[in-house]
Amino acid sequence: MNHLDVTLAARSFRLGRALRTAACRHRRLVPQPLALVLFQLGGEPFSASALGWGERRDELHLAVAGEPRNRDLAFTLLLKLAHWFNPRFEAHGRNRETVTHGDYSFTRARTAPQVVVANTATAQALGWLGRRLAYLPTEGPHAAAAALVRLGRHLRFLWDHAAVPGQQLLVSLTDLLDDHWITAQSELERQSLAAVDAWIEPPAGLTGFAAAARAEQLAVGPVPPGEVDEELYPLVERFNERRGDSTDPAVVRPLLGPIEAHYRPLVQKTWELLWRCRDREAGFAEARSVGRRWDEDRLAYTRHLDWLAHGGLRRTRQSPRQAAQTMRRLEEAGRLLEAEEACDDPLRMLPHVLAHRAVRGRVVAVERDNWEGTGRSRVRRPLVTLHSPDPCLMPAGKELFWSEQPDGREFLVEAIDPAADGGSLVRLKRMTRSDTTGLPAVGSEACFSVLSTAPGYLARLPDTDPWTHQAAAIVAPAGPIED
Amino acid sequence: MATATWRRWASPPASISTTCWPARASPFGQSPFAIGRGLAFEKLLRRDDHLLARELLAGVLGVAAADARVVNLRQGYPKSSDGMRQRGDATLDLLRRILAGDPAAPHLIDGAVLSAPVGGMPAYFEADALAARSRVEVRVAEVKSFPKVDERVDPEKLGAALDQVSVYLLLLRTAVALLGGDPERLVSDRALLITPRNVGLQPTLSEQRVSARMGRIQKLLDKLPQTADIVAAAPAGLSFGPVADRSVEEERRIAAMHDLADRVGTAYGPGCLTTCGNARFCRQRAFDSAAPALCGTGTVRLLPGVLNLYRADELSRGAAPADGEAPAAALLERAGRLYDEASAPAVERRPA
Repeated sequence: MNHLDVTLAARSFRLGRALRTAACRHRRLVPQPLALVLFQLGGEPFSASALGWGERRDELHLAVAGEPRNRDLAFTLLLKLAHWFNPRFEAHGRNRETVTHGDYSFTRARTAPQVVVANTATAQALGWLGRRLAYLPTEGPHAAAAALVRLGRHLRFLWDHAAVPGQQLLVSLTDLLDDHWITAQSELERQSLAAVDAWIEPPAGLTGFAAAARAEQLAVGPVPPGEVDEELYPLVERFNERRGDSTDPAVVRPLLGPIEAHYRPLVQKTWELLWRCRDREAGFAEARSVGRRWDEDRLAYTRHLDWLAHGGLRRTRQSPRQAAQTMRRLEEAGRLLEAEEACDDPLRMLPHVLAHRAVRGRVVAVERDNWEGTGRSRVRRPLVTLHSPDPCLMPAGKELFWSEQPDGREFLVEAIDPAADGGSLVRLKRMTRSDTTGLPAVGSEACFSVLSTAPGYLARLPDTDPWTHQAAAIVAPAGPIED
Repeated sequence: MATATWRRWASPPASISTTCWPARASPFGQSPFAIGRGLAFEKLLRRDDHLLARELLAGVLGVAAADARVVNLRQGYPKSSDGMRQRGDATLDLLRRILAGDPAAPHLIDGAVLSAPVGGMPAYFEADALAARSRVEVRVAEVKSFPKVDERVDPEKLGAALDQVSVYLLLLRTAVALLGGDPERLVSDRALLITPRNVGLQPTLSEQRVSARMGRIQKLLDKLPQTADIVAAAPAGLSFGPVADRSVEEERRIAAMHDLADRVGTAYGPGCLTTCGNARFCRQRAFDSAAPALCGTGTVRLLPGVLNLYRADELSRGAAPADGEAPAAALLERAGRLYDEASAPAVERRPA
């Protein structure tokens, strides 16, 4: 929350609809995503009661478990999903390109799958399902189908990868919308996709508030409100009575009708909402740096497939060493994401300008031939003078980067003089003579900020873990959680 | 001034509202499947004279599971406030025997009731289990039905459960002090949690220190205003009667509710939506008065002295600030101006 958010929330309130906080779209949306809708029973996070899936708006597959608390019936449902999901998810791995960095080269899938879900809770539920399925034995007395285990590992990978800031393999629409729009809602209310959608496009004659109050009643999943489960409860009771103890598909399938009828409207409405929101966002132009992040996503996806092909398993609890590396990777991704978004999008730069982490203005002078030092240490250090309409509160000596070239060399704040109109004249010094880092033209608008997209310094971890970071106990390898 | 106190406390702080609710009020909109799961798990623990619970707690109790004595206070008492008082007395009595080292004293009390004055009114709290090691230590265990997988549970639910145990531990300390024991030594600050492991219902025990939580909750409890003060501060002649009268038509009952809220005010915060059945009513009122609370507490904090969201919008468009608005106004004006400039080229760009 900053003053820009508050200002926009107040304006959104007065207008009665949501306002954009980004001029473009900062996430990739592929033309044919794998869309998933998931419903669970209350208090049962490791199973699915109803699933909806498809690649197109007009192609919704729906299946229900009947009694998801029964292992066989829960797995029957998930196996249906696995048979549809796995081939589509894995197909992208076959078409690869070779990338070479110096004398190091690797292959990377040219495309990657994208899974779209309605909200973060659904994404989390997929992660939980993945945890349950990924470690099931495929032989022995309780053997599970291999496809089910593969589905579990894919879901597990997607959920782990979802922690990477700016990733685009698993798109939760509430996150996407909340990131690109602001409404006069609290954070809690913004978790409802239906309510945020209502604020963005309220029906004619209604304010966003009234439309959202109406729309938020819609159960989007994964855990519907208690009242919806109350309607389902007798249906499940009846289903269990009629099937006895049988999990035989020939017995169970004809009995699923009433439960399917209960879920069909819920899944259908969520499905339409999901595609409406996705398609609307897809209509906005994509930001410049999205491609770089998509490359990273494709690489992560390729590594996941390769790891799987070698029979690799993943831990469910990281070692302290792994945790430190993961944290470093996530922080670096977060830093790059913030810098890229701000440099791609003038609206995203505003919070930085407001917080005096960036300065914006018209370039009034550029002195290319400014020389400093004497004798052999005499170097060329071009100067840029910016007229900022607002007073600039940065200290002299601060390192800034030109937003047109955020991966270039730094500029130092040399001096700040008050301007006649109450603003500031900011003189910046480019810290290299090389023109690979360019200079803005006189008369143009330019922005300099603390945000850089140059790769950060990666400290090496020590060869042996210090005693402070050694695990207290050896963590048991991950196994099935069916007991 | 008195009204201000009332408004501030019309809803208790969020962390307390879910935990201090006396004796398990029916949960707000919970799924029958979730309720069923919780009941099944508790039933499992109580089966065969609490066999599983005794086995689980054997290490804590310092006695073999077969020798552990269990008293179930959930049975044999009426389900009323009177019954709660009787159970509270029985709990105190058992606790006295435990502290005295009575060889026949129980090791485990199922459904112990602890009482404490909250805001000057007696309130009763039902702890799932008190586990005692005679003359050494008394512990509180809470039974929850959310699963523990890979040594982890849902952090949000864990937090709520630990808050709950912390309240019981504080009350237990008060009770022990009342009986002449040393609360710091006799009541552990480590909470016990009994949850199912993995997908099934097999119970498992977890332990965590909660001294920091206990300190925080003690502060909150100390700050709760006295009920009598609130009653004195409320305007005379107010009653929920006309609102609760089901024989009257709905519109008039809602009007009566609005009248009530007009006179004492509401204290809407977004947290209300998850805990209170009346939250949508208060939210509508917050919307009608354009209260900054509608957008969350962060917004309220950033708009000191600004009456409502309309005014915040005016200030962001350069309206002259009144006294008291100046600090927020300068920042709002700058944010508004920068947004207008930056979005001018892209303004109202609608999706293609």
